[in-house]
Formats: sequence, C-alpha cells, structure tokens
Amino acid sequence: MKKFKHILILSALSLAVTDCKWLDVDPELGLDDQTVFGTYANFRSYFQWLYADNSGSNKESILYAFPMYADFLTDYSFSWYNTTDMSDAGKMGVTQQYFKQGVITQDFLRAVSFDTSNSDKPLAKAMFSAIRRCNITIQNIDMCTDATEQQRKDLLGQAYALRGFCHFSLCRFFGGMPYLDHPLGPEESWDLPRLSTYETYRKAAYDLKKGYELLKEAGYMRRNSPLALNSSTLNEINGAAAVALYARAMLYAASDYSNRNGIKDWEEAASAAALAISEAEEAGFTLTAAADYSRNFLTQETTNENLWTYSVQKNDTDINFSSLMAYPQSGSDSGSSGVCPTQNFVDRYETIYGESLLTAEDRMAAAAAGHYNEQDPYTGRDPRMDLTIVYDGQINPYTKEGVINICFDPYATPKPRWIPNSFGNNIVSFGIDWGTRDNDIYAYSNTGYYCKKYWNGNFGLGQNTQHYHTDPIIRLAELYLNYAEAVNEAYGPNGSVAGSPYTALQAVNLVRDRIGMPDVLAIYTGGKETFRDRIRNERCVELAFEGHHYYHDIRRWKIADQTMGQVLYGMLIEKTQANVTYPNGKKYTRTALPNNRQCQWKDYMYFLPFPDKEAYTMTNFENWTWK
Amino acid sequence: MSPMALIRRKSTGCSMKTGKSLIFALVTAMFLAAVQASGQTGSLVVKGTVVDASSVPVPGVVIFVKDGSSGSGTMTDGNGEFLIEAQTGNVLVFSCMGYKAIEMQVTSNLQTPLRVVMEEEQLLIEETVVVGYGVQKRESVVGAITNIKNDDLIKAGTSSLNNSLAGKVAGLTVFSESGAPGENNATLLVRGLSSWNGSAPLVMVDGIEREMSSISPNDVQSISVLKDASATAVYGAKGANGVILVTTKTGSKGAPRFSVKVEQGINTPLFIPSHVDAVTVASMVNIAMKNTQSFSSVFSDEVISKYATQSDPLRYPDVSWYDILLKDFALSTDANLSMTGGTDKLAYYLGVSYYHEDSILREITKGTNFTSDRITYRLNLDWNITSSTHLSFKVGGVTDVSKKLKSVSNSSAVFSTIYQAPTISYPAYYPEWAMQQYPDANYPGLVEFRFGGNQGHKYSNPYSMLGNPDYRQSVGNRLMTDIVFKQDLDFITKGLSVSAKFGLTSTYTRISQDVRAYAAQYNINWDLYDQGSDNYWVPVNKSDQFVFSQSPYAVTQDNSAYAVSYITYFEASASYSRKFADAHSVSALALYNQRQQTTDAGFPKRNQSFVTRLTYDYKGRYLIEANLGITGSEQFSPKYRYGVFPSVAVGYVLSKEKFWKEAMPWWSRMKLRYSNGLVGSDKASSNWLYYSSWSRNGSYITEDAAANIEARWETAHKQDLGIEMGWLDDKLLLEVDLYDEKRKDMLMPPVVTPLVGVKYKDVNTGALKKHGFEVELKWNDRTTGGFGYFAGVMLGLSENRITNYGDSPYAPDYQKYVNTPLNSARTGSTLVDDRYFNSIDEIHGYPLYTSEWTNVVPGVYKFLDYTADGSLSQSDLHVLRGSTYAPGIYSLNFGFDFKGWSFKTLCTGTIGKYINYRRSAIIPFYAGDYVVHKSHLDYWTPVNHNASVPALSLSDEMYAWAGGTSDWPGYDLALDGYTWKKSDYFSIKEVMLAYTFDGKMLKQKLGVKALSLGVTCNNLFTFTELMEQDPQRLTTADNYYPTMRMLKFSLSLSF
Repeated sequence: MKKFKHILILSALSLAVTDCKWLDVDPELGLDDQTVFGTYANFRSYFQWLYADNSGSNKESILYAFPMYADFLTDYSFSWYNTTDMSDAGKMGVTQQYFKQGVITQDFLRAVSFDTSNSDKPLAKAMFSAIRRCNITIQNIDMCTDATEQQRKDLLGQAYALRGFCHFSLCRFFGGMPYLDHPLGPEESWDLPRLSTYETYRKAAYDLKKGYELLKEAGYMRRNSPLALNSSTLNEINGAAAVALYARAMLYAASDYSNRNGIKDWEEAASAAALAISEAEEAGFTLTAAADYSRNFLTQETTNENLWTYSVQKNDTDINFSSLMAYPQSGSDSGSSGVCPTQNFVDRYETIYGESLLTAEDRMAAAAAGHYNEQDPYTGRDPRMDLTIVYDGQINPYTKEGVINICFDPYATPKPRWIPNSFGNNIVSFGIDWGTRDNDIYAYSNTGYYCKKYWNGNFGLGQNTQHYHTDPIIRLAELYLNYAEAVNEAYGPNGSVAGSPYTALQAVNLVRDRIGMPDVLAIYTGGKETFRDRIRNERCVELAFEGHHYYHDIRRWKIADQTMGQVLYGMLIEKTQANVTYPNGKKYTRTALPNNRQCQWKDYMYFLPFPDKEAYTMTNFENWTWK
Repeated sequence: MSPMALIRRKSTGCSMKTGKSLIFALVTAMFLAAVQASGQTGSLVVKGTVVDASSVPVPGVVIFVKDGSSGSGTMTDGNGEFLIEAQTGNVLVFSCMGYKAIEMQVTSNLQTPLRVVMEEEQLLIEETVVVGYGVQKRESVVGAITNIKNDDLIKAGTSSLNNSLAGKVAGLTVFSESGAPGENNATLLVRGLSSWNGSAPLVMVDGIEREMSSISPNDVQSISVLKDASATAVYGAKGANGVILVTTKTGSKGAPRFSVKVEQGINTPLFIPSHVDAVTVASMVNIAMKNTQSFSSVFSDEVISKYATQSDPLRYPDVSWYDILLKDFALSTDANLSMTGGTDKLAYYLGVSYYHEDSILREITKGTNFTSDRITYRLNLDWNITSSTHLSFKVGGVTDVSKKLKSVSNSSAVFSTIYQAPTISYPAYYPEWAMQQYPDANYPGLVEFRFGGNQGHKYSNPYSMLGNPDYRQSVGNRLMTDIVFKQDLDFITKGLSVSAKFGLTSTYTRISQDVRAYAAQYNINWDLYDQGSDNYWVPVNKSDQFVFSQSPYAVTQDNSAYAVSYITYFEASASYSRKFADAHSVSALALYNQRQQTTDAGFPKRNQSFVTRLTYDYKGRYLIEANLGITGSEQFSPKYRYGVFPSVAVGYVLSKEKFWKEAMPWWSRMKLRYSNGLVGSDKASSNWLYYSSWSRNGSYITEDAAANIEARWETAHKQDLGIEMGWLDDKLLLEVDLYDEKRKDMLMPPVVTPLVGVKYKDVNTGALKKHGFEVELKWNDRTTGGFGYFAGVMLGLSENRITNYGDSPYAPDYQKYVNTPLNSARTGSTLVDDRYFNSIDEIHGYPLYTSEWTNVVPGVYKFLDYTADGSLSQSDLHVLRGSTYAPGIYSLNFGFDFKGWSFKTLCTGTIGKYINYRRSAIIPFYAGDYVVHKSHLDYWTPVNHNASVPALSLSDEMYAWAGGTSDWPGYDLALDGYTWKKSDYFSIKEVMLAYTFDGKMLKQKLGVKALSLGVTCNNLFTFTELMEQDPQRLTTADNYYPTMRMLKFSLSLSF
C-alpha cells in the first residue's frame, strides 16, 4: 500500500515538473515575415491583395479610388456627381442634397472615408492601407531572393506607381496629404502635418514616373496586345497608365488651385502630357471608332483606348445597381433615381454643327441658324449625348414602346401621371416628379434625365439581363485633353511641346473627330481664354461620369463657386397635342429645380474633411471644418 | 451566524471512525462474549431495542453494566435488538458514537422488552468555509467571503442556480433579462461592473472552472462568493472579477437516506402590454394622419363604428394578440431524488433532477411549441482506501432537450413580432366560417381553417409564425468527471498531506431534429373583393427555403450540425496544517494546476498556475494570511506570459480578548480584517496578441493587425476593510465591508492615426477605479417557546470610473470615455426642459438641425444644442449620467419557523439604475403599423404639452434624427427622461410557506421520516415607474421573452 502511495505522489509531482513548458505552444500560423517576403510567389500574393475585389473586411483595395467604384456603389441612392451642379439625385437623395448645400453628417463622412462595415466604401482607409502595402513592398523587395530581374522591377514599379496613385487619389478628395514614403513603425510619430496640394501632387507624380520607368524596363508598358486584348494581369497597373497618371498629377499640380510657379508648372505639365501620349501611342493604344465608343464602358473586354480599367463581371451584383446605371431600370418599386443630369449639363452637348448651347444667347443663335429647336431639343446634337444621357423619346429597342418616356401627362386619371415604360412584363418608371412626390413609391427624376453611359438599355433585374461594364480608370482620350489643356495654358491654342506632333487645338480635334463632331469652330479658338472654355466643355462631354469634371475639375480649376453658383434647371416635359409649335407632341419647359435642390457653394467645400473620430487622433494634421 | 454552529451529526449506525475504534469494538465484543459465556446466576435478563429519535433501530450500540465489577456487556444487532444480563440496581450504559450516551438503572419492575431512544449527539464543531483551494474555519477567515448554505438555495424556488442567488449576497448583482424556458440564466456581477473586457466572475464547481448552469441547486452543498484580493489572489489572472465557488454534496456515513421532492409550478408572464381596443387605435391613426396632412386617408366614422361593433371582424378586426397567442399560464415540473449514505470505507451521494418547462406561448400546431427538458445528475463517491488515503470520484452532468420554432431563432423573436403586430389590420387567422362567407374560387366547396398573412404589413402575422409547423429540436450533453486523490502524510510530519486532482468536462450539442415545413398562408384582397372579382384570396409566397405545402406537411431533416468542446484539468498540491502549543495555528499550501480547453477544431487554450498560501493565527485572535498566485496563459507573449498576484490580509478578533469579554459581555463579536493585493483578468479580444498576423485569404496574403509584443494581463489592485460585529450572543450581526479597486493594463484597441494604414492589436492601456461598500445586518433568534424568527437587510453600492481609455487625444473632453462610468450612455443628447416643440414660433427660435431631419413640427422632441454653436449635430452628443447596471442593490428578508411551519420572504431592489428605451417601445405606430400600447396613450397634443410620447405620426421620419447612427436614428439615442429612463425597482422576489410533518406517527403510517408541503412564489410583485416594461433589463428591446411570476407547490419526503 505504501508503495502505491509513493508512486502516486511521485507521478503527481513529476507531472507538475515536466509541464513547466505547458504554455510554450506554437500557434503554427505558418506565416512570418521571412515566409511572406522570401519567395516571389508569396510576395506577389501579398502585394496583389490591393487589387482584389473589395479586399476583405479591412477594406484595403485601391478599387475604391476607381471612378465607378468610388461612386458609393452599393448605395444606389448616392453618387458623387449628385453632389455637384452636374446632376440631381431625384428620389432618396437627401444626403447629397445636404452635401450640395455644404452640410455633411459624421455618419456619411465615416462611410465614405474610414468605416469598414459591409456596405461602406472607405476611400481614405483603403488608400492608407494600400500605401502601407506599397511601402512594405519597396522596403522588403531585397528579401525576395527567387525573383527574376523583370519580376523585381515589375513589383517595384507597381509599388511606386500605386503609392503615387493612392496619394493622388487622397489629395483629390481630401486635400494635401503627408507623403508617406515608408511604413510607419510603432516608435515613430503617427501625427504628420499636411503638405500643400502642389507638393502632394508633385510627389505623387514623381512616384508615378518612377513606377513608369521601372515598368518600362520590365517590359510592361502594357499587359495585353492591341490584337489580343484579354490578359490575366490586366488589373495590374502598366507603364502606359503610370506615365499617363503622372501627366494627370502634373496637370493637377499646375492647375489654378495648386499652381506655384505660374507658366513653368504648365510647361512641365505639358511636357509630361506629351511624354504620356507618345508612350501610349508607341504602346499601340488608339482611340476607338465612333461606333465602338460605348465599348469603352460597356463590355467585358477592354478596348484599345483604355490604358487601365477595372472590368466588372456581370454577376457582380454590387455594381449592377450603381446609381450610374439609370437605377429605375432595375424595376425596384422603392427605387432610387440614381443620377439625374441637370439641364445645365445637357446644354454642354453642342449642336452637330459645333455650336455651343450653354447660354440663352447661344441657343438663340443656334436656333436662328436652324440648328436647334427648343421644342425638339434632342435632335441634331453631339452624338455623345445619346451615348451618355437617357432623355425623353430616346430610342430604346428593349422597351415595348420602343422609346424611353420621361414624360408627364397632366390629364391622366387616375394616377400615375407619368407614362410607363415596359421591359417585357416589367413596368418601370422613369417618372418625372418635380418635387410633388406625386408617385410616391416609384423612382422619379426632377430633371427629366438619367445616366446612360454605363447602362446597356435593357431591364436590369435578374441574372440574365445583367450586363458587363468597365470602370474606366484612364483612357487615351483624356491624355489628349490633358495635353491640350496644359499646352493651351503654356503656349496657347496653336502652341505645342517640342517633339510632339500635336498642337493644343489638334489634340482636341482628335477627340471630336473620332465621334463625328466637326473641329472646334474658329470663333472659339482665337485666344487662350476662349479656347480654355471649349477645352473644359470638351472634357465635360467626353469624360462625363468618369470621375473627372465637376467633382475634381471644378475644384482644381477653382471655378466651383461659378458652376455651383448657377441656377439649376431641369426639363419639364408634358404630353400635349402634336402641332407646329410642339412637333413631338411634347411641351418642353426649362424649369428651375425647387430651392431645396439647388446648390449653395461655400469655400470650405473644396475638400472633404476627415471624420471627427479620425481627426481627433491628430493635431499636426489640420482637418478642414465644414461649418 | 454564530462562529460556532451546532452541527447535527446524523447517522443511523453506530459509527467508528478509524481502524482503531474498529479494533476496540471487536475486542470489546469478544470480551463481552466471554463474560456472557461464563454465566451468572440470580441475574436478570434485560431484552430490548434501541432506536433513534425517528424510531429507526440503531445497530452496534455498546451496552455494558456501569459499575459491575465483573463487567458484562453486549452490542445491538442489525435490528437494534439486544439481550443483556444484569442485576437489579445495576446501571446500564448505552453508548454509540454520534449519540448521547444513556444510563439506565435496572429496577425490579423494569418492563421488558425495553425501548431505548437514543438522541443524536449535537457535536460542537467549528463552522468551516470553502475558500480558494481549501477550507478555513469561519472565524479565522480574513478575506471578504460570503457563504450560502444549500437550504437557502433550494428554498428560493427557482430551478436555476444563478437565479437562486438573487438577494442573498451583499455585493452580488443578479438580474435576468429573459424568462424563456431553459434560457433563464441570470447575469451575475460581484461588486458591480469591473471591466469592458467582461465583468463575469469566475465560477468553480468543486474546484474546477465550470458553468453554473450545469448544476442543479439540489446537488449543491454550499456556495462561497469570494470578493476581495485576499480570497481571490490564488486564482491569479482569472480572479479579478470575483470568484464563486460551488461545492456539491458528498455522502455521509449511515444507512441510505432518501429524499424526494416534487414541485409543480404555475407561471404567468409579467410586464405584458395590455390590449388597446380597435376604436382607440383607429382614432389615434386618424390623429396621426391629420398630423402629417394626409387628410384623404383617415378612417371614416362608418369604419370606426365597424371596429366598435365588430360586425365584420375579418375586415375590421380588433385583435388582442397577447390574449390569442399566450396561455393563461405555463406549467413547470421539477422532480428531484437524492440518496446518501455510506460506511467507513465508502460514502456516496446520488442526486437526480428532472425539470420541464412549458412555453407561455400557445401551441397552435401540435408538437411544435417551444419546450425545454433538462435532466441533471450527480454521483459523488468518497472512498477511504486506508485511514490516510482517500479517493473521491465525482461525476455529474446535464442533458438538455429543447425545441424551438425554426422560422424564428428563439422564442424572443416571436415576442418581438407580437409586440409590433397591428391591432386593426388583419385577423389572426381565418376560421372555417371565413371560407363559408368568402368562398375561394380556386377551391370550390372547400371549407377549412386558414393561416392568415400580414396583408402587406411590415412584420409577419405572429399567429401564422407561431403556428407554422417547422421546428428544430436540439440535444445538449455536458459531462463532468473529477477524480481526487488525497494522501495524509502524518507519518512524515503531523498535518501534512498531498493530493492530486484530475477533471474532465465535455460538452456535446447536436440538432436532433430539424423539421422544415411551410403552411400555406392567405390574405384577402379586399379591393378585388369590392370590385366583384372571385380571386380575392391571395396565397402568400415564401422563399424556396420552405416547402410550401398544405397539411400534411412535407418534412425534411438535417441532423448534421453539432458542437463539441472539452476541458481537461490537472492539479497537484501539498498542504500542511497544525496547531502548536494550543495557541499557534499554522497552515501552508503549495499547489500546481493546468487546464486546457478545446472547442471544436479551434486551437486549444491553456492555463497554468502555481499557488501558495500561508496562514497563521495566535489563539484565534491575531490572524495573518499571505497568498501568491502565479498564473500563465498561452495567449500572451512569452515575456509576459506569467502574472504574479500576491496578497496579504490581517485580522484581529477583539472579542476574544479577555478585557473585551469582561467589559462588554453583550458584545459577543468584534472582528476587524483588512486585505490588500493584486488579482488579474486574462480576458482578451483574441489569442496571439503578441503575433503580427499574416494570414492567407484565398490566393492572397494579408497583414491583419500589427502585434502588441507586450500583451499581458489586466491587473486589479484591491483593498478591503471588513468589520464584523455581533451582539447578544450573535443574535444581532452586522458586517460591513469597504473596498477600493484600481485596475490597470486593461486591454483595448490603441489610438492609431489613419496615416498608419494598419490596425494594431489591443494594448494594455486602459485603467479604471472602483470603490464601494457592503452592509449586512441580521437578527436571528429563537424564543423559549420554540418560535424561531429572523430578519435581515443587505446593501451594496459600487461606483466606478474609467481613468484611462483609448480616447482620441484631441477629442473634446465631454466626448471622451475617460472619467465616465462603465456602461453609461455615451451616445446621448439631452432634451431641454420643456421637452417638446410646442409651437411653430419655438421651432423658428431654435438652432438649426444640420441633419436629415426634415419634419420638425410642433409636438416632436427638442434636442439641446450642447455645444451652443447654433446647430444640432453629432458634436452635441455627450455622456449622460447613470448606467444601465445599477450601482446600488439592496435586499430585505424575514421569516419564521414554529412547530413545523416555516415562512420566509425576500425582496430585492436597485438604486440608480437606468434603462435604455428602444424606439419600438417608445413610439406608437412603429414602422407605420397600426399598433399602440397603453404606454403610448399619453401623447402630445396642442393642449397636452407634458405628454410622455410626442405627437402621433405614422412616419418614423418624423421621429428620426440623424444625430444617431444611420441604422438607428433618433429615438435610439439615449434621451434623458425619455429613452434613457430611471428604472429603479423593488421586487418581492421570493415568498415561501411550508409545513413539515414528522415524528413517529408519520414513520409508522407512511414509512417516511418527514413530509413537507410548501408553496413558493418568485417575482410576486415588482414596484416600478415603468409602464409595461421590465425594469430589470438593460434595454427595452421588445424581443425578450417576458419574465415569469412563478408559483410553485412542492411536496417533499425524506426517509
């Protein structure tokens, strides 16, 4: 018995002693710095995350800076375009309405900048994460021992270019940023002061240029060929896109808001633009034919005009109901209206003869020339209007009616008074409302227009009719317009950069010629100032809804107070008897939008503030106040 | 409670504790036999039976002649009978351990057979208290420990151990938010809230960390609540929130004793909104319509009269949902059987309990209602292998079988729907006559009951929801097994022993039946009916996950889901306890333990600790104790893996001093004690805080969060000063504890500027301070007439304040968490004094609402411009006073017992509790549905400015304010006095009345020792200012199963 006792005691004690290492467990996570950065395969897996769709719960994707993606895509009742004079939000647009008048809520700010909950698209969060990823890549590239020289340069080139792209994107929305050229460590100050927008854009340009040089050395000026556009690595930035974005950043730095050295900045921007064009042309990029214009936005395959795109697969439900796709086509009863372009914007589409219709005098002159009729306003216009805007009477082969009706029947009983559109058995409302909330449950437009650029015209609900579309990050047409703008400022309409085949005017005409518009009329090319207005108008028309004008361009041009200060109009279209006065059987009345849908520009609106929650963590970084 | 309690030692056999006494008995018997054999003439043969007080025969009683020089003796046999020769004048002595010895003179007229009744000896033994890893004498305890006996728990009348603790321990908060069958486990807090990383105390069952819900109150011997650092330091990094030690019953020597208890409960729901009739609802709808200028949609007088007369109840119904869907009462059954007994070698305790509770919801389709069945069982064996070697084997478990509707995850969801179901929009269902009156053209001639749809309203028809024949039945099993080996090492030195313990807990839960079916639901389209169409019956479409069918319902089964976890525990210890020179008591403990918890396929969690304790007391007057816990957890970095938690406590028992006794004999007890020490908490948001985590995400690698390489324990520095006083032989007792606590190193997310671009894992930056006191006053007495009575009061107050928090450093002070109590309302805004906008002028004179509020009209809430910057925005949010966890709790109890009657009652209450109203509870017509509750009837009108709810509106927008979050705007903010209401309550928690029959008669007639009949009532009444809401809750989310008033009748037998 005693022996038994002793055995028990001894075994108990020995257990106690041997288990001193009980807690030394290895979680065997399998991934440490060496594993992650040691091999090219893992390194790439690490870096590529910033291109991944949505990039997980931490939201670390650069996608959020792409124009369609940044357009608050899952929230179909929101669009950045609706926060400007370019368009109205129609139904459910309260947030944008307040924004337009200089009021934002913290919830909204967090959702667009830092919140990572499911539906949010936190632009700033994504950019700072991506910058860290680029910086860690640059810092650790030497740990990668099995990469070829080409692979190293490719990774490094992308990292530099995207670091520039991310800072550029932040600066566009939030103003000057500290330039983060290495990953911030735990011992460092995490509270850095802002740089000016000029410095930020120039530093971003420098990185983009460095990225372009490395990518060129690696042989990746493009990742497909003009003959075989598909490629598995299309989502990665290439040399042509890097140099094009470099030119864009230089242009932003030279623009009125940021310009520091007057004409010199413009000259440098012009040279950068010339370099970008020659590199793009050399790589085989070219403007598509007029008939293929919409392929730049509406196909699965990229085009030869797109330097860099993000292609959205048709089953990606996130983007299918973006407000940019004329939301009522989804057939949702409670629907939002999506983007409803204002009459002011539609007036930017010239007559097919090249006459401006922007002012009442312009329109009277065009009417006198027999090129424009206020009671038949959509005939004889720039072809891009039909490709960009949904307007009343637009031909649509998918509807029973054959056309889209955005028309009001004052005599209809009972309600609704809007004229229905039928996609097969699905009745959708492109209703018109004018603030009376007459048709409470359906989407409606306050302007008489919707956005067509990313919509293929068919009914959108259900897998079969969802369509492919493309998020145009940068395309060749923009390069010509960037060049024209910089050259016009530096050297005038007929000037050019040494070695470049184009004058500013020629560059603009290239873009017009492709779509079937005549060259810019001589009356507009007399001087820098008059031509500047035409270049700006051309940008609005050509690059509509591609993340440029208004939200960014009016700010860098410092003309937001003018554009946002104008009275916004829509086109009230009523059904009537067809006669000589009303050849379409419709009565078109330019009507000012209700007061609560107008803009009220305030100078603090140039850039978005960071939400208080983030701003309160810093004191050196000065936040804007919207008040 | 007196320090020395009278403990009745019960045994029916004459016990002999050690081998020695066994030998002694044998020798005695042999000797007596020899004497008997020798024979003696002229003597008297005395025959008889020895029985105990309850007439049970006592075997093994030694009987001998006291002064007989020759000496003779015998022992009773198994039937308690004996035979002895004696001479007249001799004195017979009956003796047996555990009984008082009896002397009896042999007289000539002695009547045989004798019946000797032996009284159980009431031994004076010292009362002990279970402490961490041991047992201490009550009087030498220097920590703040409250001990509760089994009786108090069982008599609470609840079948949940957590709930039965309510009001019994000063400083222990107990509240329950749901009364659902099988879900009514109360939340426990020791000395209030402690940390944002979790405030739940550590629960140990028989020395091993386990859930309290797995134990039946019937199997519990005692519960110790450990509150200060001295008592909890041995638990190191797990003890900071207090420790609750549950000790299960063990067997005691003697013939098997059984006790059986059967209880039948009748439960009725509390805080159920009462029905508001259709006419009132419809007229309020009309007011709301007019308020929003929707004049065309108001109900006409004709329609309202139809609601009044109920002439067309399908089209103009007046549905009292709670009446239709709730039973008058639910039944519960509780049965318990226990058996205990043993010999010198082996003692056993066996307890089996069965509990069944019905749902208060009506069973609409047979076999689908919510139910809960639970069986708990426990077998504790204590085996003395030798006089110095002991082995215990304990096994206990619980099996749960519960049934829930599948379409609603839990019964609470049904209540949410009932709360929001419209009164006047659709009938609960279509009875057969509905199809007679309104035939369905698609089913000519068919007349049957139909489930109704919701006629396009927001929430489901609760009747159809509850009646839908889908359900899920799950079975859960938990098994707990302990083996304890103890060896006394007196042969090395007296008082030394070693022991080892091994414990295993396994849990297995499985869905045993998963029935998916969907019964057809119909709406009647009254527009179509009015237009003369035949197709006015409209079936409701449901998604594909249900099989849309008519009876008999298609059934599919899915038994695949299960969850499994197991915990292993090992402990080895050496302890020493000895008293020298009758004055110096010394004890020492050294202990090692380790624990591993594995849940499903997760990485196991491991803990390890080394514990030592030294105690010394001098004549029970001067007490000193030192504890040291060194605990480790695998989840912290190797450098900080072990936490060291020392504590020291001293005590001085003044009342044991001679001078005290002489000067104040009536002041029977005076003890001072003070403790000071560190305790920790290892609760953390995740494992591997010290690892920078890279993880694979499909084909990508991501950096999840940067490491906190110094991740370590949360530490609490606690001090406790206790005064224990007793007067009049401890009839009146007063115990006061004052405490102070400072926590630091509390894990929380660090402040990272957005520029960094990565999250950091939690860092140890938080700090909190807490202080408070507990008072307990008791009177306990028994008159000479046998009337026993007691009364007591307990009060606990606990206040805390965050002293360091990861606030953004440049945020305005009024928005920082620091300097606020835990769980205060931080998102709140305060209303100005006169509550509502009473006129248009007032609105114009008010700062701008810079938000999405578009409907500021008279009769809506007015918010305070806290920053006085001329606009209302989120910068006006600030912290409100108060917390949803009551800082103060108190309880009162009193009772008596007299001649078999016993009565007691317990009341509990709170001080400074707040409740957060959810908007569904405070606004009428939630989500536009036509439902109002009694609490909504006092609404704002131009002549009723002091209303409790604002002007009526059917649109949530009118109540919304974007100062909240986008998900929960407006009314989900805490608004002082409106959605943030004081909710102190006083509740009559327990009332118990019982009568016990015992005595010979009972034994002879029924064969039982005692029979007791009783009635208890839980939650008899609650006094509160809230209307239709349970003040115990933290929020008024309507999706709680109501608390139940439980009336129980019990019958218990022991034999």
